[in-house]
Amino acid sequence: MKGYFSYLLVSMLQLGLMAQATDLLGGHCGKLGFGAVLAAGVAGYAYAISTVVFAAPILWALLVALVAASLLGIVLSHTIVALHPDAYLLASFAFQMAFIEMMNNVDWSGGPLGLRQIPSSVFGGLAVEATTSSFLFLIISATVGLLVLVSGARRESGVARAHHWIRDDILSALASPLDTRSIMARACLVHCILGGAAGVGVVIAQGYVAPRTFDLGLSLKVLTVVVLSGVGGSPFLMLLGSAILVLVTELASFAFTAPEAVGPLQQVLVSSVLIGFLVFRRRGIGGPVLESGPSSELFE
Amino acid sequence: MWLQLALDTTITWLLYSLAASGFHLASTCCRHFAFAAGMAFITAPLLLWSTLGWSGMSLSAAIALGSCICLGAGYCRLAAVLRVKGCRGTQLLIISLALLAASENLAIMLTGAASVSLWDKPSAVVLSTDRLVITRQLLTVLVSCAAGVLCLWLVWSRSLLGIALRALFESRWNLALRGYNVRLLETIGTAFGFGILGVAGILWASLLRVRPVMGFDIAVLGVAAVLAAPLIKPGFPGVVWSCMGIVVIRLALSLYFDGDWNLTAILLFLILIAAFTAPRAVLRQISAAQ
Repeated sequence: MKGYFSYLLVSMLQLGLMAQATDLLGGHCGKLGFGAVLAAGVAGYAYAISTVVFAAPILWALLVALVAASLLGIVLSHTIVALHPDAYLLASFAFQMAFIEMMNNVDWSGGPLGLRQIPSSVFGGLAVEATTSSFLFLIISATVGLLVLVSGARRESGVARAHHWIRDDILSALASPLDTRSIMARACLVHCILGGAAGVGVVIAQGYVAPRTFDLGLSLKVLTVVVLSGVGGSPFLMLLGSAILVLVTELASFAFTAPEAVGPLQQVLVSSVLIGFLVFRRRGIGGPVLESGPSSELFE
Repeated sequence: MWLQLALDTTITWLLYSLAASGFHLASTCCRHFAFAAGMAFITAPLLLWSTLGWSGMSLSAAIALGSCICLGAGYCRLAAVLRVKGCRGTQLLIISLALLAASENLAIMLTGAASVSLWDKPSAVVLSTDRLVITRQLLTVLVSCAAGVLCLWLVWSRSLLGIALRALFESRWNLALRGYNVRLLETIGTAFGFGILGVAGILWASLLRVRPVMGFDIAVLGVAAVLAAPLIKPGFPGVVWSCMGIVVIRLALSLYFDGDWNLTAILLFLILIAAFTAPRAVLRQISAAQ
Protein backbone atom coordinates (compact mmCIF):
# COMPACT_ATOMS: atom_id res chain seq x y z
CA MET A 1 0.00 0.00 0.00
CA LYS A 2 2.89 2.31 0.84
CA GLY A 3 4.38 1.57 -2.58
CA TYR A 4 1.05 2.35 -4.23
CA PHE A 5 0.82 5.78 -2.57
CA SER A 6 4.38 6.65 -3.50
CA TYR A 7 3.56 5.61 -7.08
CA LEU A 8 0.57 8.00 -7.03
CA LEU A 9 2.71 10.80 -5.63
CA VAL A 10 5.40 10.26 -8.27
CA SER A 11 2.75 10.24 -11.06
CA MET A 12 1.32 13.52 -9.74
CA LEU A 13 4.74 15.15 -9.65
CA GLN A 14 5.62 13.94 -13.15
CA LEU A 15 2.39 15.26 -14.64
CA GLY A 16 2.52 18.45 -12.57
CA LEU A 17 6.06 19.26 -13.70
CA MET A 18 5.23 18.68 -17.37
CA ALA A 19 2.04 20.75 -16.98
CA GLN A 20 4.03 23.61 -15.40
CA ALA A 21 6.46 23.49 -18.32
CA THR A 22 3.60 23.46 -20.86
CA ASP A 23 1.78 26.28 -19.10
CA LEU A 24 4.89 28.47 -18.98
CA LEU A 25 5.06 28.52 -22.77
CA GLY A 26 1.36 27.90 -23.50
CA GLY A 27 -0.50 29.77 -20.82
CA HIS A 28 1.90 32.67 -20.20
CA CYS A 29 3.52 33.12 -23.63
CA GLY A 30 0.60 31.96 -25.82
CA LYS A 31 2.32 28.94 -27.43
CA LEU A 32 0.41 25.86 -26.29
CA GLY A 33 2.04 22.71 -27.65
CA PHE A 34 3.66 19.35 -27.03
CA GLY A 35 7.19 20.65 -26.39
CA ALA A 36 7.27 19.53 -22.74
CA VAL A 37 6.51 15.90 -23.57
CA LEU A 38 9.04 16.03 -26.41
CA ALA A 39 11.66 17.38 -23.98
CA ALA A 40 10.66 14.67 -21.49
CA GLY A 41 11.22 12.05 -24.18
CA VAL A 42 14.58 13.47 -25.26
CA ALA A 43 15.88 13.76 -21.70
CA GLY A 44 14.42 10.38 -20.69
CA TYR A 45 16.10 8.64 -23.61
CA ALA A 46 19.36 10.55 -23.04
CA TYR A 47 19.39 9.31 -19.42
CA ALA A 48 18.51 5.75 -20.42
CA ILE A 49 21.09 5.55 -23.23
CA SER A 50 23.82 7.06 -21.02
CA THR A 51 23.24 4.56 -18.23
CA VAL A 52 22.36 1.40 -20.20
CA VAL A 53 24.39 1.71 -23.42
CA PHE A 54 27.39 3.70 -22.15
CA ALA A 55 27.22 2.56 -18.48
CA ALA A 56 27.73 6.15 -17.31
CA PRO A 57 27.38 7.02 -13.59
CA ILE A 58 23.89 8.26 -12.67
CA LEU A 59 24.94 11.85 -11.95
CA TRP A 60 26.67 12.09 -15.33
CA ALA A 61 23.58 10.62 -16.99
CA LEU A 62 21.41 13.23 -15.26
CA LEU A 63 23.70 15.96 -16.55
CA VAL A 64 23.60 14.54 -20.09
CA ALA A 65 19.79 14.39 -19.93
CA LEU A 66 19.44 18.01 -18.82
CA VAL A 67 21.96 19.17 -21.45
CA ALA A 68 19.98 17.27 -24.11
CA ALA A 69 16.76 18.98 -22.95
CA SER A 70 18.50 22.39 -23.00
CA LEU A 71 19.79 21.77 -26.53
CA LEU A 72 16.28 20.88 -27.60
CA GLY A 73 15.09 24.15 -26.04
CA ILE A 74 17.64 26.07 -28.11
CA VAL A 75 16.61 24.23 -31.30
CA LEU A 76 12.90 24.81 -30.67
CA SER A 77 13.41 28.49 -29.83
CA HIS A 78 15.28 29.02 -33.11
CA THR A 79 12.89 27.07 -35.29
CA ILE A 80 9.24 26.90 -34.27
CA VAL A 81 8.59 29.16 -31.27
CA ALA A 82 8.11 32.22 -33.50
CA LEU A 83 5.31 30.50 -35.42
CA HIS A 84 1.59 31.31 -35.10
CA PRO A 85 0.07 29.46 -32.07
CA ASP A 86 -1.84 26.95 -34.25
CA ALA A 87 1.24 26.30 -36.37
CA TYR A 88 3.38 25.95 -33.21
CA LEU A 89 1.00 23.29 -31.85
CA LEU A 90 1.19 21.33 -35.10
CA ALA A 91 4.96 21.77 -35.45
CA SER A 92 5.65 20.61 -31.88
CA PHE A 93 3.35 17.66 -32.54
CA ALA A 94 5.33 16.87 -35.71
CA PHE A 95 8.62 17.05 -33.76
CA GLN A 96 7.21 14.68 -31.14
CA MET A 97 5.99 12.21 -33.77
CA ALA A 98 9.35 12.38 -35.58
CA PHE A 99 11.16 11.67 -32.32
CA ILE A 100 8.91 8.67 -31.51
CA GLU A 101 9.31 7.33 -35.05
CA MET A 102 13.09 7.66 -34.83
CA MET A 103 13.25 5.90 -31.46
CA ASN A 104 11.02 3.16 -32.90
CA ASN A 105 13.34 2.49 -35.81
CA VAL A 106 16.93 2.90 -34.65
CA ASP A 107 18.87 0.12 -32.91
CA TRP A 108 20.71 2.12 -30.25
CA SER A 109 17.43 3.20 -28.63
CA GLY A 110 16.20 -0.39 -28.34
CA GLY A 111 13.60 -0.07 -31.10
CA PRO A 112 9.89 -0.52 -30.26
CA LEU A 113 10.74 -2.53 -27.12
CA GLY A 114 12.90 0.29 -25.76
CA LEU A 115 15.62 0.02 -23.13
CA ARG A 116 15.19 -1.95 -19.93
CA GLN A 117 16.92 -2.35 -16.57
CA ILE A 118 17.75 1.33 -16.30
CA PRO A 119 19.74 1.74 -13.07
CA SER A 120 18.07 4.01 -10.54
CA SER A 121 18.66 2.36 -7.20
CA VAL A 122 21.62 4.57 -6.25
CA PHE A 123 20.80 8.24 -5.85
CA GLY A 124 23.44 10.63 -4.57
CA GLY A 125 25.29 7.78 -2.89
CA LEU A 126 22.13 6.50 -1.15
CA ALA A 127 20.86 3.02 -2.02
CA VAL A 128 17.11 3.49 -2.52
CA GLU A 129 14.40 1.82 -4.64
CA ALA A 130 13.36 3.21 -8.05
CA THR A 131 10.15 4.93 -6.90
CA THR A 132 11.90 6.65 -4.02
CA SER A 133 14.79 7.79 -6.17
CA SER A 134 12.34 9.12 -8.81
CA PHE A 135 10.39 10.83 -6.03
CA LEU A 136 13.55 12.47 -4.67
CA PHE A 137 14.60 13.63 -8.12
CA LEU A 138 11.12 14.90 -8.98
CA ILE A 139 10.61 16.71 -5.69
CA ILE A 140 13.94 18.53 -6.15
CA SER A 141 13.05 19.41 -9.76
CA ALA A 142 9.52 20.50 -8.80
CA THR A 143 10.84 22.71 -5.97
CA VAL A 144 13.43 24.36 -8.23
CA GLY A 145 10.81 24.68 -11.00
CA LEU A 146 8.26 26.19 -8.64
CA LEU A 147 10.80 28.68 -7.29
CA VAL A 148 11.71 29.76 -10.84
CA LEU A 149 8.12 29.88 -12.06
CA VAL A 150 6.63 31.55 -9.00
CA SER A 151 9.31 34.23 -8.92
CA GLY A 152 8.77 34.81 -12.65
CA ALA A 153 4.98 34.70 -12.47
CA ARG A 154 4.59 37.34 -9.74
CA ARG A 155 2.23 40.08 -10.89
CA GLU A 156 4.85 42.80 -10.37
CA SER A 157 7.57 40.78 -12.15
CA GLY A 158 8.81 42.27 -15.41
CA VAL A 159 9.31 38.81 -16.91
CA ALA A 160 5.66 37.86 -16.34
CA ARG A 161 4.43 41.14 -17.78
CA ALA A 162 6.64 40.75 -20.84
CA HIS A 163 5.37 37.17 -21.34
CA HIS A 164 1.75 38.32 -21.04
CA TRP A 165 2.33 41.22 -23.40
CA ILE A 166 3.69 38.82 -26.02
CA ARG A 167 0.75 36.46 -25.40
CA ASP A 168 -1.97 39.10 -25.50
CA ASP A 169 -0.71 41.43 -28.20
CA ILE A 170 2.23 40.11 -30.21
CA LEU A 171 2.11 42.93 -32.80
CA SER A 172 2.59 45.73 -30.28
CA ALA A 173 5.23 43.65 -28.44
CA LEU A 174 7.17 43.26 -31.70
CA ALA A 175 6.90 46.99 -32.38
CA SER A 176 8.13 47.84 -28.86
CA PRO A 177 11.80 47.88 -27.74
CA LEU A 178 11.13 44.55 -25.99
CA ASP A 179 13.51 41.80 -27.18
CA THR A 180 10.72 39.29 -27.81
CA ARG A 181 13.06 36.76 -29.43
CA SER A 182 15.35 36.35 -26.43
CA ILE A 183 12.41 36.44 -23.97
CA MET A 184 10.73 33.59 -25.84
CA ALA A 185 14.05 31.75 -26.17
CA ARG A 186 14.59 31.87 -22.39
CA ALA A 187 11.01 30.77 -21.73
CA CYS A 188 11.47 27.88 -24.18
CA LEU A 189 14.71 26.87 -22.46
CA VAL A 190 13.08 26.74 -19.00
CA HIS A 191 10.10 24.93 -20.59
CA CYS A 192 12.36 22.21 -22.01
CA ILE A 193 14.49 21.84 -18.86
CA LEU A 194 11.37 21.36 -16.70
CA GLY A 195 9.92 18.90 -19.23
CA GLY A 196 13.27 17.10 -19.36
CA ALA A 197 13.41 16.79 -15.57
CA ALA A 198 9.94 15.24 -15.59
CA GLY A 199 11.04 12.82 -18.33
CA VAL A 200 14.03 11.65 -16.29
CA GLY A 201 11.65 11.16 -13.34
CA VAL A 202 9.37 9.00 -15.51
CA VAL A 203 12.27 6.83 -16.71
CA ILE A 204 13.75 6.40 -13.20
CA ALA A 205 10.35 5.42 -11.77
CA GLN A 206 9.52 2.91 -14.54
CA GLY A 207 12.99 1.42 -14.90
CA TYR A 208 12.51 1.21 -18.66
CA VAL A 209 11.81 3.50 -21.57
CA ALA A 210 10.01 2.82 -24.84
CA PRO A 211 8.70 5.07 -27.64
CA ARG A 212 5.16 4.61 -26.32
CA THR A 213 6.18 6.09 -22.94
CA PHE A 214 6.13 9.59 -24.47
CA ASP A 215 3.33 9.26 -27.02
CA LEU A 216 0.19 11.27 -27.79
CA GLY A 217 -1.61 9.80 -24.76
CA LEU A 218 0.86 11.47 -22.38
CA SER A 219 0.65 14.74 -24.34
CA LEU A 220 -3.13 14.76 -24.00
CA LYS A 221 -2.82 14.00 -20.28
CA VAL A 222 -0.49 16.99 -19.81
CA LEU A 223 -2.78 19.25 -21.83
CA THR A 224 -5.72 18.04 -19.72
CA VAL A 225 -3.90 19.02 -16.52
CA VAL A 226 -3.11 22.48 -17.97
CA VAL A 227 -6.70 23.09 -19.13
CA LEU A 228 -8.16 21.63 -15.91
CA SER A 229 -5.93 23.83 -13.72
CA GLY A 230 -6.48 26.93 -15.85
CA VAL A 231 -4.32 28.01 -18.79
CA GLY A 232 -2.03 30.83 -17.65
CA GLY A 233 -2.79 30.19 -13.99
CA SER A 234 -0.60 29.71 -10.94
CA PRO A 235 2.16 27.03 -11.05
CA PHE A 236 0.73 25.58 -7.81
CA LEU A 237 -2.60 24.96 -9.55
CA MET A 238 -0.82 22.68 -12.02
CA LEU A 239 0.14 20.40 -9.13
CA LEU A 240 -3.46 20.47 -7.88
CA GLY A 241 -4.75 19.71 -11.39
CA SER A 242 -2.37 16.78 -11.78
CA ALA A 243 -3.41 15.43 -8.38
CA ILE A 244 -7.09 15.58 -9.40
CA LEU A 245 -6.45 13.90 -12.76
CA VAL A 246 -4.29 11.13 -11.29
CA LEU A 247 -6.92 10.41 -8.62
CA VAL A 248 -9.79 10.41 -11.13
CA THR A 249 -7.96 8.05 -13.51
CA GLU A 250 -6.98 5.79 -10.61
CA LEU A 251 -10.62 5.61 -9.53
CA ALA A 252 -11.42 4.43 -13.07
CA SER A 253 -9.11 1.46 -12.55
CA PHE A 254 -11.49 0.20 -9.86
CA ALA A 255 -14.39 0.20 -12.36
CA PHE A 256 -15.98 -3.13 -13.18
CA THR A 257 -14.20 -3.70 -16.48
CA ALA A 258 -11.81 -6.26 -17.84
CA PRO A 259 -8.20 -5.56 -16.77
CA GLU A 260 -7.12 -4.93 -20.38
CA ALA A 261 -9.82 -2.26 -20.76
CA VAL A 262 -8.58 -0.15 -17.82
CA GLY A 263 -5.92 1.73 -19.84
CA PRO A 264 -8.30 2.70 -22.68
CA LEU A 265 -10.99 3.62 -20.11
CA GLN A 266 -8.53 5.97 -18.39
CA GLN A 267 -7.61 7.55 -21.74
CA VAL A 268 -11.31 8.02 -22.62
CA LEU A 269 -11.79 9.66 -19.22
CA VAL A 270 -8.81 11.99 -19.73
CA SER A 271 -10.03 12.99 -23.21
CA SER A 272 -13.56 13.56 -21.85
CA VAL A 273 -12.26 15.82 -19.06
CA LEU A 274 -10.20 17.77 -21.62
CA ILE A 275 -13.12 18.19 -24.02
CA GLY A 276 -15.55 18.96 -21.19
CA PHE A 277 -13.40 21.75 -19.76
CA LEU A 278 -12.61 23.22 -23.19
CA VAL A 279 -16.31 23.27 -24.08
CA PHE A 280 -17.90 24.31 -20.77
CA ARG A 281 -15.22 26.03 -18.68
CA ARG A 282 -12.17 27.18 -20.57
CA ARG A 283 -10.79 28.99 -17.50
CA GLY A 284 -10.37 25.67 -15.72
CA ILE A 285 -10.23 25.67 -11.91
CA GLY A 286 -8.44 28.98 -11.47
CA GLY A 287 -7.13 30.29 -14.77
CA PRO A 288 -7.30 33.98 -15.64
CA VAL A 289 -9.77 35.53 -18.08
CA LEU A 290 -7.51 36.25 -21.04
CA GLU A 291 -8.01 39.62 -22.67
CA SER A 292 -6.08 41.47 -25.32
CA GLY A 293 -4.21 44.60 -24.36
CA PRO A 294 -4.01 45.10 -20.58
CA SER A 295 -0.71 43.29 -20.06
CA SER A 296 1.12 45.59 -22.48
CA GLU A 297 -0.41 48.65 -20.83
CA LEU A 298 0.63 47.37 -17.39
CA PHE A 299 4.18 46.77 -18.64
CA GLU A 300 4.52 50.30 -20.03
CA MET B 1 9.07 -8.08 -57.53
CA TRP B 2 9.05 -4.65 -59.15
CA LEU B 3 5.63 -5.20 -60.74
CA GLN B 4 4.15 -6.24 -57.40
CA LEU B 5 5.78 -3.25 -55.72
CA ALA B 6 4.39 -0.90 -58.38
CA LEU B 7 0.90 -2.31 -57.95
CA ASP B 8 1.02 -2.06 -54.13
CA THR B 9 2.36 1.50 -54.36
CA THR B 10 -0.41 2.51 -56.77
CA ILE B 11 -3.07 1.11 -54.43
CA THR B 12 -1.49 2.88 -51.44
CA TRP B 13 -1.38 6.15 -53.42
CA LEU B 14 -5.05 5.87 -54.42
CA LEU B 15 -6.11 4.97 -50.87
CA TYR B 16 -4.06 7.83 -49.41
CA SER B 17 -5.55 10.22 -51.99
CA LEU B 18 -9.09 9.18 -51.10
CA ALA B 19 -8.50 9.50 -47.35
CA ALA B 20 -6.55 12.76 -47.60
CA SER B 21 -9.25 14.28 -49.85
CA GLY B 22 -11.86 13.50 -47.21
CA PHE B 23 -9.68 15.01 -44.50
CA HIS B 24 -8.94 18.08 -46.65
CA LEU B 25 -12.64 18.66 -47.30
CA ALA B 26 -13.60 18.21 -43.63
CA SER B 27 -10.75 20.44 -42.40
CA THR B 28 -11.46 23.25 -44.84
CA CYS B 29 -15.18 23.21 -44.10
CA CYS B 30 -14.60 23.11 -40.31
CA ARG B 31 -11.93 25.87 -40.58
CA HIS B 32 -9.35 23.95 -38.53
CA PHE B 33 -7.34 20.73 -38.85
CA ALA B 34 -10.13 18.28 -38.13
CA PHE B 35 -8.19 15.39 -36.57
CA ALA B 36 -11.62 14.11 -35.51
CA ALA B 37 -12.21 13.13 -39.16
CA GLY B 38 -9.97 10.14 -38.37
CA MET B 39 -12.97 8.85 -36.37
CA ALA B 40 -14.81 8.14 -39.64
CA PHE B 41 -11.84 6.09 -40.85
CA ILE B 42 -12.19 3.69 -37.90
CA THR B 43 -15.95 3.92 -37.34
CA ALA B 44 -16.97 2.77 -40.84
CA PRO B 45 -14.97 -0.48 -40.97
CA LEU B 46 -15.74 -1.32 -37.33
CA LEU B 47 -19.46 -0.79 -37.87
CA LEU B 48 -19.33 -2.84 -41.06
CA TRP B 49 -17.48 -5.62 -39.21
CA SER B 50 -19.93 -5.63 -36.31
CA THR B 51 -23.12 -5.50 -38.42
CA LEU B 52 -22.10 -7.96 -41.16
CA GLY B 53 -23.19 -10.86 -38.95
CA TRP B 54 -26.88 -9.94 -38.87
CA SER B 55 -27.40 -7.88 -42.02
CA GLY B 56 -26.39 -8.02 -45.65
CA MET B 57 -23.36 -6.31 -47.14
CA SER B 58 -25.31 -3.38 -48.65
CA LEU B 59 -27.26 -2.65 -45.46
CA SER B 60 -24.08 -2.82 -43.34
CA ALA B 61 -22.24 -0.49 -45.73
CA ALA B 62 -25.20 1.91 -45.70
CA ILE B 63 -25.28 1.92 -41.87
CA ALA B 64 -21.51 2.46 -41.69
CA LEU B 65 -21.40 5.29 -44.22
CA GLY B 66 -24.62 6.88 -42.90
CA SER B 67 -23.10 6.98 -39.41
CA CYS B 68 -19.94 8.63 -40.77
CA ILE B 69 -21.97 11.28 -42.60
CA CYS B 70 -24.04 12.01 -39.45
CA LEU B 71 -20.81 12.16 -37.42
CA GLY B 72 -19.37 14.69 -39.87
CA ALA B 73 -22.47 16.90 -39.83
CA GLY B 74 -22.56 16.77 -36.02
CA TYR B 75 -18.88 17.63 -35.70
CA CYS B 76 -19.22 20.60 -38.06
CA ARG B 77 -22.13 21.98 -36.04
CA LEU B 78 -20.23 21.45 -32.76
CA ALA B 79 -17.19 23.32 -34.14
CA ALA B 80 -19.43 26.17 -35.33
CA VAL B 81 -21.11 26.45 -31.91
CA LEU B 82 -17.74 26.44 -30.12
CA ARG B 83 -16.38 29.13 -32.46
CA VAL B 84 -19.38 31.29 -31.64
CA LYS B 85 -18.70 30.68 -27.92
CA GLY B 86 -15.18 32.08 -28.41
CA CYS B 87 -13.09 28.94 -28.84
CA ARG B 88 -9.75 29.72 -30.52
CA GLY B 89 -8.19 27.67 -33.32
CA THR B 90 -5.71 26.00 -30.96
CA GLN B 91 -8.50 24.95 -28.60
CA LEU B 92 -10.56 23.50 -31.48
CA LEU B 93 -7.47 21.60 -32.63
CA ILE B 94 -6.98 20.14 -29.14
CA ILE B 95 -10.67 19.18 -28.91
CA SER B 96 -10.37 17.51 -32.30
CA LEU B 97 -7.29 15.52 -31.21
CA ALA B 98 -8.96 14.55 -27.93
CA LEU B 99 -12.08 13.35 -29.79
CA LEU B 100 -9.95 11.14 -32.04
CA ALA B 101 -8.02 9.74 -29.06
CA ALA B 102 -11.27 9.09 -27.14
CA SER B 103 -12.88 7.31 -30.09
CA GLU B 104 -9.81 5.13 -30.67
CA ASN B 105 -9.71 4.12 -27.01
CA LEU B 106 -13.46 3.50 -27.04
CA ALA B 107 -12.94 1.23 -30.06
CA ILE B 108 -10.21 -0.65 -28.16
CA MET B 109 -12.56 -1.06 -25.18
CA LEU B 110 -15.38 -2.40 -27.37
CA THR B 111 -13.48 -4.59 -29.84
CA GLY B 112 -10.14 -5.25 -28.15
CA ALA B 113 -6.66 -3.98 -29.04
CA ALA B 114 -5.96 -6.69 -31.64
CA SER B 115 -6.75 -6.08 -35.29
CA VAL B 116 -9.70 -7.89 -36.86
CA SER B 117 -10.29 -9.08 -40.41
CA LEU B 118 -13.39 -7.95 -42.32
CA TRP B 119 -13.61 -11.20 -44.25
CA ASP B 120 -13.60 -14.78 -42.93
CA LYS B 121 -12.09 -16.52 -45.95
CA PRO B 122 -8.87 -15.72 -47.81
CA SER B 123 -9.46 -14.04 -51.15
CA ALA B 124 -9.37 -15.99 -54.42
CA VAL B 125 -6.35 -15.50 -56.67
CA VAL B 126 -7.19 -13.88 -60.02
CA LEU B 127 -3.71 -13.83 -61.51
CA SER B 128 -0.54 -15.52 -60.31
CA THR B 129 2.82 -15.34 -62.05
CA ASP B 130 6.43 -15.31 -60.83
CA ARG B 131 6.43 -11.53 -60.63
CA LEU B 132 2.85 -10.69 -59.75
CA VAL B 133 0.02 -12.06 -57.62
CA ILE B 134 -3.37 -10.37 -57.86
CA THR B 135 -6.20 -11.46 -55.57
CA ARG B 136 -9.86 -10.61 -56.08
CA GLN B 137 -9.73 -8.40 -52.98
CA LEU B 138 -6.76 -6.46 -54.32
CA LEU B 139 -8.45 -5.97 -57.68
CA THR B 140 -11.72 -4.84 -56.07
CA VAL B 141 -9.91 -2.31 -53.87
CA LEU B 142 -7.83 -1.04 -56.81
CA VAL B 143 -10.88 -0.54 -59.03
CA SER B 144 -12.96 1.00 -56.21
CA CYS B 145 -10.18 3.41 -55.23
CA ALA B 146 -9.55 4.45 -58.83
CA ALA B 147 -13.30 4.95 -59.36
CA GLY B 148 -13.52 6.93 -56.10
CA VAL B 149 -10.65 9.26 -57.02
CA LEU B 150 -12.08 9.73 -60.53
CA CYS B 151 -15.54 10.53 -59.08
CA LEU B 152 -13.99 13.03 -56.67
CA TRP B 153 -12.12 14.70 -59.51
CA LEU B 154 -15.33 14.91 -61.57
CA VAL B 155 -17.28 16.34 -58.63
CA TRP B 156 -14.46 18.82 -57.93
CA SER B 157 -14.02 20.03 -61.50
CA ARG B 158 -17.43 19.62 -63.15
CA SER B 159 -20.32 19.58 -60.66
CA LEU B 160 -22.17 22.49 -59.04
CA LEU B 161 -21.17 21.19 -55.59
CA GLY B 162 -17.52 21.22 -56.70
CA ILE B 163 -17.80 24.82 -57.91
CA ALA B 164 -19.45 25.84 -54.62
CA LEU B 165 -16.74 24.04 -52.60
CA ARG B 166 -13.96 25.66 -54.63
CA ALA B 167 -15.55 29.04 -53.99
CA LEU B 168 -15.78 28.19 -50.28
CA PHE B 169 -12.07 27.30 -50.22
CA GLU B 170 -11.19 30.62 -51.90
CA SER B 171 -13.38 32.99 -49.86
CA ARG B 172 -16.31 32.13 -47.63
CA TRP B 173 -17.08 35.86 -47.21
CA ASN B 174 -17.46 36.33 -50.96
CA LEU B 175 -19.81 33.35 -51.06
CA ALA B 176 -21.87 34.65 -48.13
CA LEU B 177 -22.18 38.09 -49.74
CA ARG B 178 -23.52 36.44 -52.89
CA GLY B 179 -26.35 34.94 -50.83
CA TYR B 180 -25.14 31.31 -50.48
CA ASN B 181 -25.95 29.48 -47.26
CA VAL B 182 -22.31 29.04 -46.20
CA ARG B 183 -23.18 27.25 -42.95
CA LEU B 184 -25.18 24.60 -44.84
CA LEU B 185 -22.45 24.23 -47.45
CA GLU B 186 -19.85 23.75 -44.70
CA THR B 187 -22.01 21.10 -43.02
CA ILE B 188 -22.52 19.28 -46.33
CA GLY B 189 -18.80 19.52 -47.11
CA THR B 190 -17.78 18.12 -43.71
CA ALA B 191 -20.35 15.31 -43.90
CA PHE B 192 -19.12 14.49 -47.42
CA GLY B 193 -15.50 14.52 -46.20
CA PHE B 194 -16.30 12.16 -43.31
CA GLY B 195 -18.20 9.93 -45.78
CA ILE B 196 -15.17 9.76 -48.11
CA LEU B 197 -12.97 8.87 -45.13
CA GLY B 198 -15.48 6.14 -44.21
CA VAL B 199 -15.23 4.67 -47.73
CA ALA B 200 -11.42 4.88 -47.56
CA GLY B 201 -11.50 3.17 -44.15
CA ILE B 202 -13.61 0.28 -45.45
CA LEU B 203 -11.35 -0.19 -48.50
CA TRP B 204 -8.24 0.00 -46.31
CA ALA B 205 -9.66 -2.57 -43.89
CA SER B 206 -10.68 -4.87 -46.76
CA LEU B 207 -7.10 -5.01 -47.96
CA LEU B 208 -5.39 -5.11 -44.58
CA ARG B 209 -7.22 -5.47 -41.27
CA VAL B 210 -9.28 -3.22 -38.98
CA ARG B 211 -7.06 -1.69 -36.29
CA PRO B 212 -8.72 0.54 -33.65
CA VAL B 213 -5.72 2.93 -33.77
CA MET B 214 -5.52 3.39 -37.54
CA GLY B 215 -7.40 6.72 -37.49
CA PHE B 216 -4.44 8.59 -36.07
CA ASP B 217 -2.02 7.68 -38.89
CA ILE B 218 -4.51 8.77 -41.50
CA ALA B 219 -5.19 12.06 -39.66
CA VAL B 220 -1.46 12.85 -39.72
CA LEU B 221 -1.38 12.04 -43.45
CA GLY B 222 -4.40 14.33 -43.93
CA VAL B 223 -2.71 17.21 -42.07
CA ALA B 224 0.38 16.85 -44.28
CA ALA B 225 -1.74 16.82 -47.44
CA VAL B 226 -3.72 19.88 -46.30
CA LEU B 227 -0.47 21.74 -45.54
CA ALA B 228 1.30 20.74 -48.74
CA ALA B 229 -1.57 20.90 -51.24
CA PRO B 230 -1.73 24.72 -51.58
CA LEU B 231 2.03 24.78 -52.24
CA ILE B 232 1.67 22.36 -55.15
CA LYS B 233 -1.78 23.05 -56.63
CA PRO B 234 -4.77 24.31 -54.64
CA GLY B 235 -7.63 21.93 -53.85
CA PHE B 236 -8.16 18.30 -54.79
CA PRO B 237 -5.36 17.99 -57.42
CA GLY B 238 -2.83 19.27 -54.87
CA VAL B 239 -3.93 16.63 -52.35
CA VAL B 240 -3.53 13.84 -54.93
CA TRP B 241 -0.03 15.06 -55.90
CA SER B 242 0.94 15.39 -52.22
CA CYS B 243 -0.10 11.78 -51.62
CA MET B 244 1.97 10.72 -54.63
CA GLY B 245 5.02 12.46 -53.10
CA ILE B 246 4.47 10.83 -49.70
CA VAL B 247 4.04 7.37 -51.22
CA VAL B 248 7.22 7.71 -53.32
CA ILE B 249 9.28 8.78 -50.26
CA ARG B 250 7.76 5.96 -48.21
CA LEU B 251 8.66 3.48 -50.94
CA ALA B 252 12.25 4.77 -51.09
CA LEU B 253 12.61 4.52 -47.31
CA SER B 254 11.14 1.03 -47.13
CA LEU B 255 13.49 -0.16 -49.90
CA TYR B 256 16.64 1.01 -48.12
CA PHE B 257 15.79 0.77 -44.41
CA ASP B 258 14.09 -1.77 -42.17
CA GLY B 259 11.11 -0.80 -40.02
CA ASP B 260 7.98 1.29 -40.35
CA TRP B 261 8.71 4.77 -41.79
CA ASN B 262 5.17 6.03 -42.46
CA LEU B 263 5.40 9.16 -40.30
CA THR B 264 8.98 9.89 -41.35
CA ALA B 265 7.94 9.80 -45.01
CA ILE B 266 5.21 12.34 -44.28
CA LEU B 267 7.58 14.65 -42.37
CA LEU B 268 10.33 14.34 -45.00
CA PHE B 269 7.83 15.20 -47.70
CA LEU B 270 6.71 18.31 -45.79
CA ILE B 271 10.33 19.43 -45.31
CA LEU B 272 11.11 18.86 -49.01
CA ILE B 273 8.01 20.74 -50.13
CA ALA B 274 8.82 23.68 -47.85
CA ALA B 275 12.45 23.72 -49.05
CA PHE B 276 11.56 23.61 -52.75
CA THR B 277 8.52 25.86 -52.83
CA ALA B 278 9.81 28.70 -50.63
CA PRO B 279 12.60 29.74 -53.07
CA ARG B 280 10.04 29.52 -55.90
CA ALA B 281 7.73 31.86 -54.00
CA VAL B 282 10.60 34.33 -53.54
CA LEU B 283 11.44 34.18 -57.25
CA ARG B 284 7.76 34.79 -58.07
CA GLN B 285 7.82 37.87 -55.83
CA ILE B 286 10.98 39.18 -57.55
CA SER B 287 9.54 38.66 -61.05
CA ALA B 288 6.26 40.30 -59.97
CA ALA B 289 8.21 43.31 -58.66
CA GLN B 290 10.13 43.62 -61.94
